[in-house]
Amino acid sequence: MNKSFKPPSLAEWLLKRLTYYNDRYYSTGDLQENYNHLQEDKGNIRARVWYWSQVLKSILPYLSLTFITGAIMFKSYLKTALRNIKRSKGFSFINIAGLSVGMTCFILIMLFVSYEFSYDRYHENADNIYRVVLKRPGNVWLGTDWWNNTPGTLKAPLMQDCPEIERIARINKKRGVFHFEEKHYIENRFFIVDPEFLEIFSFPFVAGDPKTALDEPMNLLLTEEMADKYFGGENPIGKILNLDGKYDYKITGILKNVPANSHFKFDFLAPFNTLYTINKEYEEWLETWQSNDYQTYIQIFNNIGRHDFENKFPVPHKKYSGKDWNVDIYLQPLKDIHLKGHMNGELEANSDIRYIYLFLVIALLILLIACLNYMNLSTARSAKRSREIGVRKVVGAVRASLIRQFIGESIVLSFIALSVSIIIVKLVLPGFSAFVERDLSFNFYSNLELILSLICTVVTVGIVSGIYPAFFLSSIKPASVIKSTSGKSVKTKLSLRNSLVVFQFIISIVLIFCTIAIYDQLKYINNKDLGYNKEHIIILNLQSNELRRNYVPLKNELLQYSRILDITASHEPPDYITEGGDARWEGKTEDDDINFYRTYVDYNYFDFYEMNVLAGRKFSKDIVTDKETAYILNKTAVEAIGWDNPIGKGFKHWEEGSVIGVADDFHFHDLGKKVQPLVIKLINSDYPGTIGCLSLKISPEDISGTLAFVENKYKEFSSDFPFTYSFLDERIDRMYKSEQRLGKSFLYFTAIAIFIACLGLFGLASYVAECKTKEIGIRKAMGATINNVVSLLGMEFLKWIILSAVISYPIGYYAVNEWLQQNFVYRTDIDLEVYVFSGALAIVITILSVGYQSLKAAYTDPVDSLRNE
Amino acid sequence: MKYLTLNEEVLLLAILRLKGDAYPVSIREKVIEMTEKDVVYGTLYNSLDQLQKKGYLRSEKGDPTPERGGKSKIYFKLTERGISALRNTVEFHESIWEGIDELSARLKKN
Repeated sequence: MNKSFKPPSLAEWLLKRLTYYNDRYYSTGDLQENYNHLQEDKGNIRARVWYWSQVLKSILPYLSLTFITGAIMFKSYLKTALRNIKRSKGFSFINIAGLSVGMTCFILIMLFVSYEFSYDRYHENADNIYRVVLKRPGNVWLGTDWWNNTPGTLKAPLMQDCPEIERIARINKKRGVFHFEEKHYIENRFFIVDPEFLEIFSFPFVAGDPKTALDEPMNLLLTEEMADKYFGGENPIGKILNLDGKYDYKITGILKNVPANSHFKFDFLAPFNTLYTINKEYEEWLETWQSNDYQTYIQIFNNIGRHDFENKFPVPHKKYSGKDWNVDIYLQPLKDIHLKGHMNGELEANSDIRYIYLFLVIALLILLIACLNYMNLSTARSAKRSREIGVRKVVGAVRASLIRQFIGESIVLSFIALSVSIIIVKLVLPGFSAFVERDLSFNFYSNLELILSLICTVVTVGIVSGIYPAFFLSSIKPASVIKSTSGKSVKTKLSLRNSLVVFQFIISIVLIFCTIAIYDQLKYINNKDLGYNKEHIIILNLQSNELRRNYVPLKNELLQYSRILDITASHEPPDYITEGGDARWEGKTEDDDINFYRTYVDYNYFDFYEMNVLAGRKFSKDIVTDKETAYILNKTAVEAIGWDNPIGKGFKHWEEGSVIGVADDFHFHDLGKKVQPLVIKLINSDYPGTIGCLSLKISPEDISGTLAFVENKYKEFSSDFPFTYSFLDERIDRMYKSEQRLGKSFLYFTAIAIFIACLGLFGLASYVAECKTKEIGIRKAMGATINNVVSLLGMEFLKWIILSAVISYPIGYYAVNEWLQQNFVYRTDIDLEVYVFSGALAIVITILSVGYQSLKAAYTDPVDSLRNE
Repeated sequence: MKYLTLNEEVLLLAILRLKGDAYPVSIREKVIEMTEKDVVYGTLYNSLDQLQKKGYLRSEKGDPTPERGGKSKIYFKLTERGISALRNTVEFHESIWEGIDELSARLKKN
């Protein structure tokens, strides 16, 4: 036969697929016969086209038939599945419980993850918006050399240089106290923006004209929430809000509240030219390349090839500024900011994509554990079902239909598990939302995607967990069912089941291991000597310049109260010092390039915080020159400079002066960052900018009384600015919030994983005990003690748990070590305790879940177990 | 009493006309000849299956031929039930048309 007689092979293959389940094996033959005739009559091409069109047109009729038979079969799967669930309630309960806990966990994490990925995507132009960011290679500040504050003067040259850019908007974040009649609140989310801001981003108006709202200086837009806060039910348009008692803003529009899934959120917007009205000097300042106070966002034209445009960057700063600085200008897509933006100057704290991936992996692992459970238990029950399978086969079931039946059963079961987990999700979602600090919702009516993805999950879970049992169970031969007694066919596959148990426990033990190690690190952070005293200290913010100038009278008044033991003033509390810059010093060479952090402190600061001064002296009131020219450096700064004897050496950071002392290092950042060089100067009430807060040491009794007293006194001195305070130890605690949350989530994950694994173990143990009923009966009849029997059953599992512990230690060690290395400069070692404890915990859990079954088996009267047959 | 649909009627008549030589290829050609409309194999098979399920048809396996890529022909034959169903349908047609001479005469004119 000539080869060219063959019909198109792809179409033939498709036809075979389509007809596979309908026993229409002959149809390829029919089509080929017809095809050959056509080929002879009308030529090759016509015949091929005909063949293809026949196959394609047949898809629908074929499929519809498959669906009909599918539906009929589904009904039968459902029936048998439900029968099986009813028949073995214990197993079904374990299966459904395991699967639904796994799914609940999975759904919750997926809700969280998809929320994290939804950030900033609601903007119509989201794909075309970028943030302009700067990289200063090598110039690390607060752990990164990336910055997102850009000079105000960058806008014009950027616009000129890139014809692709449609619009540019700058943002300048301000804070202050807004007044309306009697109401006044301190507001942190006040943005000064270019009018293009409203066109680039999609922030819908509730009232006002988007075109003109930001035209005039001192115009003000506010969000619905703010309108309600200041004006209640009244219409705020045209009303005047006063800022800091100095500037009157006219309200020209109301915006919808900024969605929670935005990387920046504002309450007030004012146009950029307001800056000039407030302060003429801005005009000059904005023209300089040092004015790095602005976030710059650009929008490119819709029809621009994004890739080509992105390739234009990075651009050296020099190209626009002409300055010989080592700075490069980069672009960051808007959609990346929330998950990948960790720069200096972030408007809000962002998430970390690494944690998102970590959560995803854990969610999948937990779901996998649940699937393995199902696999394990259903193969374990094969003996019980082997008769059913044998009969089905004898009656004429082919293997394919048995496989479909078993997979169908597992899908039915996972549907039941899904409905249970939907209820659980509904119940725990508020708590979970609060835990992750996101406003998550789980709503079917509005979300087709959600429904589809849930169905996908169920089907996948059903198939993954059902596929092995299906193949395994359907391979049972009817003859062997009749020949062998119930236990035999199980033995052969025991090794695979054991490896599933081992795998489950590896995951659990790794999770236990990580949890313990994370809590170890948190404990280490808590106990670490930071170099200063953090107990019973209240930080009182001084917000107005007036208060800062008068801090001494306020301090004296406060000290009258017996429960306030001591007070010191400083630029900021010692836990987080962010300002600084470069400096000059005696003997500085060209190559020396050190970034110094800087703080201003009161005379009694070192005593107050119990900091050590290693050399030289502290600031002294008796020496007048201290106020202007005295510098105290920390140990790291002296080491960085390389001085052997720093006392008296000339030093300049703003003012010319000299070093009078060396302070011991203290941790003025979180423990993820190394201690950096620090310059300490005296505060100066003539320059209120050097004063930011008062630290109050209080006695631990009656703290609320003390606070009430402080608040009253504070209000006597400042009526405008609200009273804000914090406890130093809580502030420090909050720096490790993400670590604490990680620890907690691992705790939950571990609990869930262990729960599911235990369910599986419990089920398996009860099965093994059942299989060994006769063996145990005979052993007992021969004189075995209860101890013997229990250890017989227990050892079987215990050895697998020990094996999985051995395998999981290196995995856990690697994971934890990686986490510690990446996040902490100051970290705990992973000591023996972690290994011992995680292993011991796994063993205890095994004993608990297997123990009951073993005891039950051991206490059974041999007469009962041997009487049958 | 169940009556045949038009499609079923056409299919059964085509098989009847083909006598012993009714297999999908020839059936399809016959149906196209009778109705002057294209028939897709997929639909044809479905209909044949349905008729078989209803017991109007039975199938027989023929010999494989090289022309068909080594696949056997499946021959279809009417069962007694099939024939009586056809007969019923014809009688039914006659009974419902009975007495409408005028209309049928006018229809025949056109």
